[in-house]
Amino acid sequence: MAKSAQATVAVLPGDNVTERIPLSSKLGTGLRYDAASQQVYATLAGWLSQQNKNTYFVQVNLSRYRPRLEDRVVGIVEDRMGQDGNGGDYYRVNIGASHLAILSNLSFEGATKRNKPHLQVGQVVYARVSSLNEGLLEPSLSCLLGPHDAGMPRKDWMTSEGCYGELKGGNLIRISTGLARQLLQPDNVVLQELAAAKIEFEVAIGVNGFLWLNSTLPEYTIVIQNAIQNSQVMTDAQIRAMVKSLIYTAKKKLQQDRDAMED
Amino acid sequence: MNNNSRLRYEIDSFVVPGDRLGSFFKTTVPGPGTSARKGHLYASTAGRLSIQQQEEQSLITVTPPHDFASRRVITVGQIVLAKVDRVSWTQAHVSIFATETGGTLQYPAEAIVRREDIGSTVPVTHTTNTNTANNKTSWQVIEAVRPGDWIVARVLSLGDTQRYMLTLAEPQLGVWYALSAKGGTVMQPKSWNTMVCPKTGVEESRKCAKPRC
Repeated sequence: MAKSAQATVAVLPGDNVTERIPLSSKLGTGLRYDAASQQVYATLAGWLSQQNKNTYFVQVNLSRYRPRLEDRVVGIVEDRMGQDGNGGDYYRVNIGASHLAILSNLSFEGATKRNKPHLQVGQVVYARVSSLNEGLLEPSLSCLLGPHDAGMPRKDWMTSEGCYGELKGGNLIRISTGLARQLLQPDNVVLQELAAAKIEFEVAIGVNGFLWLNSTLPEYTIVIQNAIQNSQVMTDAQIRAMVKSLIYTAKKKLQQDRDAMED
Repeated sequence: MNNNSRLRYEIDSFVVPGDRLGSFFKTTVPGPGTSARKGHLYASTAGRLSIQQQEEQSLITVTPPHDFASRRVITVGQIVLAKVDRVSWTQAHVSIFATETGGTLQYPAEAIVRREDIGSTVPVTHTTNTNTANNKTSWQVIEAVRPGDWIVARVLSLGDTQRYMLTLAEPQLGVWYALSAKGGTVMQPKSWNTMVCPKTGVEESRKCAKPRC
C-alpha cells in the first residue's frame, strides 16, 4: 500500500525497532516497550511511521475491521430489531465487523419520541461507535455528536446538514481499513487531485472500510472509485498522473457523447 | 391428645400417606401435607403431624422430616435468588438458585427478567410527584445487571416450558452481589442505581437491591 509521507520502514511483529526511534518518543499502536530489556518491539505488521514530532506508530492495513470506541463508520441498516422501551426503535447495522451493530433512532440530534427518523432497510448511515458494551452485547452506534466532535455544529437530524446521519443516494464500496485511514489524512493526494479536477462529488469515509461516494454523473463516480482504489498502490506522483488521465478520458468521453446526441 | 382438634393421632406422631387424620370441619382445615376427601382429612405425605393455628382455623399439617427436593418449588410471588448468565438488549437470562421459602434448589432453574420488568429509572421516593413520574424511562438491561451478578427478584409467572419470568421492579429487588469489572473486587451499593468498588472507587451502574440491615 502507498506509504504516507512519514512512513519509513516495513516491520513485522517481533522486529526490534529500538534504533529507529529516538529515545524520548511516545509509542503509538503497534509498538511495545519491554522494560526488562529496554527495547522497543513492533507488535503489528505494517509501516513504521511518525505522527507528530515524537510519536511513532505502526501503520497497519487490515481487511478485517474491529470496532473501537469513537470510530466513525459508514454502515448499512440491516433490519429493525424492536422497540427500546423509551419510545424509539433499535436497528441492526452492518459495519463490516464480526457482529451487527445497534443503532437507536433516538440517538440522532434533536430526536424525541414523537420526532425521530424512520430508518429503512438498506439505508446507509454515517455514525460513530458510541459503546462497545464491554463485549457483552453488540457495539452501539450513535448519530449524536460525540466527545471528539467538539467544533461541529449541532444540527437536527431533519436538516441533512448534520455531521452524522443518513447518507442519501450515492454508492457504497468496500475498501481496506488502511486505505480508509489514508483517505482520512488531511494531505491525502488522490482526494486533493480529484477535488482540484472540479468534478462535483462527496465522500463519506468510514474507518471500517466502507466508502460512500456520491457525484453528479455515473461516469464521475466510476472515475473516482477507480482513482481511490488505485491510489492504494501508487506513489504521489503516480496518483497525480493517474487522476489527470482518468479525468481527461472521462471528460472527453462525455463530450463525445454530448456531441453525438446533438447530431 | 389435643382435644380441641379431635385428631385421631397425637400431635408430633409420625403419620404415613393414607392415614385418616380426622374430620374436616370449618375450623379444622387441611394444610400442607394433607388433603380432604368425603369430609375427612387424610395425610398425603409421610411426616410429623402438627397444627398451625390461623385466626379462627386450625391448619392440620404433615411435615416431612427430611428436606425433600420436591418441596423446594418456585411459586409465583416468591422472592428468589438468581445469578445472571447473560444479557441481551431485551432481557437478562438468569439461573434461579434459591427461593425464600424453599431454600436452595436442587438444580438451578432458568428464568428471564425482561427489560420492562427491571423498573424505571426515576426512583420511587416519597417526594416523587406525578409530573416527573410521566418522564420515567426503562432501564437498559446492561446498565441494570451484568453477567455474574447475583440478583434478588420476585417471580412474576411460571412462564413457559423453558423459563420462569422474574421482575426487579421493586425498591428492595435488584443486584445483591456483584464484582467490579476491572479488578473482580466485591462492590458495595452506593445508591439505588450505582455500585462502587471499595478498592478503586470506580462506580458502576446497577439496579441495586435495598440493603437489608
